[in-house]
Amino acid sequence: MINIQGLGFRFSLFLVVAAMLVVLTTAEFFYRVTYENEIKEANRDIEELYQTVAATASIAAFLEDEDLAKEAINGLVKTDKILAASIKSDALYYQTNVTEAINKNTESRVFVVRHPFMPEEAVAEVNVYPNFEYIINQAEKTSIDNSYSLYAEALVVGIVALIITYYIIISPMLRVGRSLHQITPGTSQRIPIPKYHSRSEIGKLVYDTNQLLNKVEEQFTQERQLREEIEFLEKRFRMLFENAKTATVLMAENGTIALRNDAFNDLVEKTELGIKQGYGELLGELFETPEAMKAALKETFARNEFATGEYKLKSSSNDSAIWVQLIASPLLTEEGERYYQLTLNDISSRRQELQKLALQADFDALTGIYNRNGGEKLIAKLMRKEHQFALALIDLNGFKAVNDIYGHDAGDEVLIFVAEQLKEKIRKNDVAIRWGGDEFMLLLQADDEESVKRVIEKVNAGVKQPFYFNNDSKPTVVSMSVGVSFYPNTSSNMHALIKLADIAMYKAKQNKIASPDDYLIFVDQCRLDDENIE
Amino acid sequence: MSLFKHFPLIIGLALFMYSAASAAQSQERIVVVTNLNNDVQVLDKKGLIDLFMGKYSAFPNGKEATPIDVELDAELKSQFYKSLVGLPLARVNAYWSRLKFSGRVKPPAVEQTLDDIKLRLEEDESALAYVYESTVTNSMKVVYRFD
Repeated sequence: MINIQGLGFRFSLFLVVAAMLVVLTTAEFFYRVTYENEIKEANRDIEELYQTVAATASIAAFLEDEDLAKEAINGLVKTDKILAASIKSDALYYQTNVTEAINKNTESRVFVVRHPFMPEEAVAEVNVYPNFEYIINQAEKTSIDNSYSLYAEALVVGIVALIITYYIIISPMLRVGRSLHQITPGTSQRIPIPKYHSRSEIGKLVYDTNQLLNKVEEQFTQERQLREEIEFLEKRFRMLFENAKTATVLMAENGTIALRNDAFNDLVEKTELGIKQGYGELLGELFETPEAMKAALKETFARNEFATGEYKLKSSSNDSAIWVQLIASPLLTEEGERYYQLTLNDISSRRQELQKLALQADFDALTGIYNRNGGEKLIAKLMRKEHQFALALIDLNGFKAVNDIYGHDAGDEVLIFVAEQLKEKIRKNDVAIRWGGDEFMLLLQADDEESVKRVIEKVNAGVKQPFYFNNDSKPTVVSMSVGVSFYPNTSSNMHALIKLADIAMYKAKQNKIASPDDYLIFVDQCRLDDENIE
Repeated sequence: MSLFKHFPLIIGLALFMYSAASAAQSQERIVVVTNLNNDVQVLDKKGLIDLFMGKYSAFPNGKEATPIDVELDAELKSQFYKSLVGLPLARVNAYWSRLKFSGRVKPPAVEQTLDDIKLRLEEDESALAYVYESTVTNSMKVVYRFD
């Protein structure tokens, strides 16, 4: 109930302290008044006391009777207020304690003793010595008791004040405080005005607080509506963002990802990096060529444009490559912070499709080896890289007959067989090409005729193997004629190279019946022959 | 009937007797007397008080004195003390009862009637008594007169 810091305790404490101070300052005054009162009273008492023995004293003086005098004087001294007394007449003297009283410098009060029967005649005098010590003691005791009772009163007043303030002020305030605690701002809850306080300061405070709560509720309602609107919008934006099939991230300049959608996570899961907090500046870690990508992006950003490009993501070796189309645009927030919006479109499948198309363009559908187009590309590439190589142009002999006798399917079978032989017999770095019709070409890594011969002989041995169509008992044999040119020894021009090989091949073809073993002719030799001829 | 007839007479008689008595009373003076042979010729009021209230038991000349109270004539006694010390009889009695225990102070001797006092005065030389002036005989010597 009592809170030391509380108003009630403070109020009572101040009240008690103030009362104590008042008591303290007035104690001296009270003491003085009490003292004087006591002295006055003592004097009066002494007078009264004397009156009680006056008759005895008077008779004693008249009769000069010592016993009576004793009785009177002792009767006086018996009381605490009188220290000593004496009676003195012409014939009589009696005293008690007078020496002590004189030693104490006590002044006496003198009473004249009248003749008992002739009051006009004085017969003696009685000296009464008041016991000042006792009187002062009494006075002090009384004033101290008074002071104590004043202190006690102050204390009682304080306690009563505490109780009153508790019931009048503190208790209603505590109740108000409790109901204030239970109130949720922005609701229609209000603090009830304490009983009997509708016109007090507390009631006013509660009223004002309720007014404030009204305003708060109003504002809360407005804000709530606003928030609901914003939430509604946000939900839609989020739906838009999160359900987008395009991986999208909002990224701070330092690479921290502020926002990402599921599509992005799905994409990242396919890479070897997996889902991480960030992937470095401009998602660099994700890409196989981050430097190139970043350079391209920054260059575009410098021109204040959004960047787009197709880049390959880093992916584990056994997975198929992932290509994305990256669209990056820099954003500047109202606070001046720079962000990037990056969208990554998975274009791997489209790219595979394209590659397949490119492959189809470069390879022969029937035999699976390079076609003429692919061959020409290869030749150009080798030339660009300035590799030395031999170009062997091969033409089949007897193929037309097979085609005519056994049909196109058989011809195709022969072509497939030949291609197989070519692929099988050449070395690892050599390439076989179907140049068109029954013409094939080999690009051999060689710069001398000997090594070319060795390879061609192996190939020839394979091609010459007989095989049987449709259970025909008669075997079919296909032979070949070969013309070879060297790059760059023969020529560094592709067309010339091919043309010369063709001429050499054609020459060899002329030997197919006369000398079938001369099926291989080198360009130099051919040129030499030409020169010889001419 | 006869009582009613004489009523005014009775009233008148009673009134006469009353006024006569009161006149006699108020006029009656008290004197203090001694034995004729006593040396004391005259006493003053203070001396009488000293003797009757017990202070002294001797005349100023040193001879023994015996003050005497009359017991049965209360009127006389009361009037005497009233004149002497100005106190009613009750107070005088109270005075004596207070002093009775001390033993040292003696109250006046007591005689029953005025005749007893007369006798006493004739026999006792130390006797000192108060009587109405009208009853003073030749065997008494007046030593004090109240005004």
